[in-house]
Amino acid sequence: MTAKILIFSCNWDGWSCIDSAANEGLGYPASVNIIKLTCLSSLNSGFILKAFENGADGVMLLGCKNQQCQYGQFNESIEKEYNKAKDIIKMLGVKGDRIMLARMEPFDGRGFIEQLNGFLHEIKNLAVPAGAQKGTDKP
Amino acid sequence: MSELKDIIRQTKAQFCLDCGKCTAVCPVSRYDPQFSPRLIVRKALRHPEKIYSDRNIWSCIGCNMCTIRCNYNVDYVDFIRYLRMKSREHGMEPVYSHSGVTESVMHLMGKKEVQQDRLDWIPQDINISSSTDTAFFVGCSPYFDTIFKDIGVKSTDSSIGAMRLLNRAGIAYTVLANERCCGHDLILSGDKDGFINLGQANIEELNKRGIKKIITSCPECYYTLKVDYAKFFNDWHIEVQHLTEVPEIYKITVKPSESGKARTKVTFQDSCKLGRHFKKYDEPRNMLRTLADAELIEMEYNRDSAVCCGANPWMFCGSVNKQIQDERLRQAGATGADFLVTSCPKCQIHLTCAQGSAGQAGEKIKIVDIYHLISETALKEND
Repeated sequence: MTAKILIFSCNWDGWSCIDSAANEGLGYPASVNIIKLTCLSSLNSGFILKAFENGADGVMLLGCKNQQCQYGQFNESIEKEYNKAKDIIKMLGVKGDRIMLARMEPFDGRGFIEQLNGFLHEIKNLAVPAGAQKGTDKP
Repeated sequence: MSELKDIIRQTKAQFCLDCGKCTAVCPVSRYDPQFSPRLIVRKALRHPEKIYSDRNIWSCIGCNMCTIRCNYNVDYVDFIRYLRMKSREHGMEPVYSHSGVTESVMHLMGKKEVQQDRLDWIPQDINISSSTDTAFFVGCSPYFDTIFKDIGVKSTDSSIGAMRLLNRAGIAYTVLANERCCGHDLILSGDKDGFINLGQANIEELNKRGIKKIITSCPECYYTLKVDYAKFFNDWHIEVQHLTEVPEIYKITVKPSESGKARTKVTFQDSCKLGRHFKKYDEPRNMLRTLADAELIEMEYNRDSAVCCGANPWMFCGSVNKQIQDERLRQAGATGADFLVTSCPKCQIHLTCAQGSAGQAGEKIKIVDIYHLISETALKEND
C-alpha cells in the first residue's frame, strides 16, 4: 500500500513546482494530498499533528528557498514549528523522519517529484505506521 | 430532550434562582458582557433547543468561582461540561488555541498502539524505584516544554522539583514511560470519546505495572484521576494523592537562613482545581513557608476569591482571557513580592504568556513553579 502523504505547499515557489510537474506530465500517487497555503509561515505545528491524527503517514512542507520568501519570514516561523512538530512526534514514539521540509527553486517540477518519491520510499520502509486510521480506536 | 433534563437534575441547575451572584463573581462576565452563567442556565431551562448552538457555552473557563458562591450549589462547571458534550453531538466544535496542537497531542496519545518516548528530561540524580506499586503521575509537562518553548516556560522543572521532594521525603515511586494525558482538557471541552480513549489507555498501563497508588503534583491530573476517573470508569480502584497530601513532605526540615530573615518574598496563585475544588489553600502555603523559607504576601484576591489564570482547556483564548490574566498579574505586581508562585503548570504557562504579550507594559514579577522554587532554593542549600 502506498503511504499517505499530506503536502502543505506555499502559494509561490512550492506551488509552482507542483504546477510544473503537472505540466511536464510527471505524476505522483493518489495517496498524496496537497493543501495550498499563502505562505508556509502561516502553518502551525498543530496542523501538522492534525494530519497525523487523521491517519497521514508523512507530512511534507513545500516552500521557497531561503531568502526567497515573498513575505520575508520563511526561516523564523516555519523552522520553529517544523522542529516543534518533529519533537512532539518523536515523544509520541513515532519512528523515523515523517515530516519533511523541502525548499524548492521555482518551477522545479522534476526536483519536486524526486523529493516526493524519496520521501515516499523512506516512509514505506518504516515498519510502524504513524497512526491508526481515525475512528478505529474509539470505544 | 430528556437527556438535558437529566443534566439539569444532576447538576441541580433547576434550583437556580436567577439571583446573579454567579455573574457578579465570574471573571469572564467581568470582561465579556455577553457571558453570564445565570443566563446560560436560564436559556437551557426555557429554550433548550437553542442552547447547543449558543457560543457562550464555550467561553466558560471552568474556574468554579460561580459554584462556590451559589447558594443552591448548582454545579455550573459540570453543567457546562455536559452542555459541551451535547453541543458536539449537534455538530458544534470549539476554536482551539495554538492551532489545536494540544488537542492533537491528546488525541494521538489516546491511540492504543502508542509507545511514547517521553522521559529523557529526568536528571540522573533522581531516584526512581522499579519495585514499587506507587507511581508519580507526571502529566503533560514534557509536551508543554516543547509546545511552549517560545514563551520560555519549562514545565518539567515543576515535575523535577516534585520528584526531588518525594525523594527527599523518602517516598519510593516509579514513573510510567507510556503514561498518557489524564484527559482533563478533553472532558472539560466536551470531548468524551477522546477522554475515554485516554482513560482506558492509562488504566491499562497502570494495571499492567500493578500500580495501586498515584501521587501527582498537577492539580488538574489530581482532579481528573480522583473525581472523573471514578465517575467514568467502573474499574477504577487506584488511590490518588496530591503531593501536598503526602505527610512525609512536611517532615523535611529546612534550616532557616543565617540572617534570620526569610530567603525570599513570594505571592501565591491558587490553582482553581487545588483551591476552589479541593479547598487546599493552606497546604501549598505551608510548604512555601517551611520548605522554601519564604515570606508570603497575599494578593488582593486570594484563596477562594483567587482570580483564575484565565484560559482553561486550550480553546477560545482571546482578549477576555488576556484581560483576566492582566488583572491577576497586576494584583501580583502590587504585592511587591519577588516571585509569583504557581502550583499548576497551566497557571504558569498562561500567566507567563500574558506577561510576554503585554511587552514593556506588563508586570515584571517573575513567575515560578512552587516545586521548582522549593527544590532550587532552600532544599538545595540543605543538601
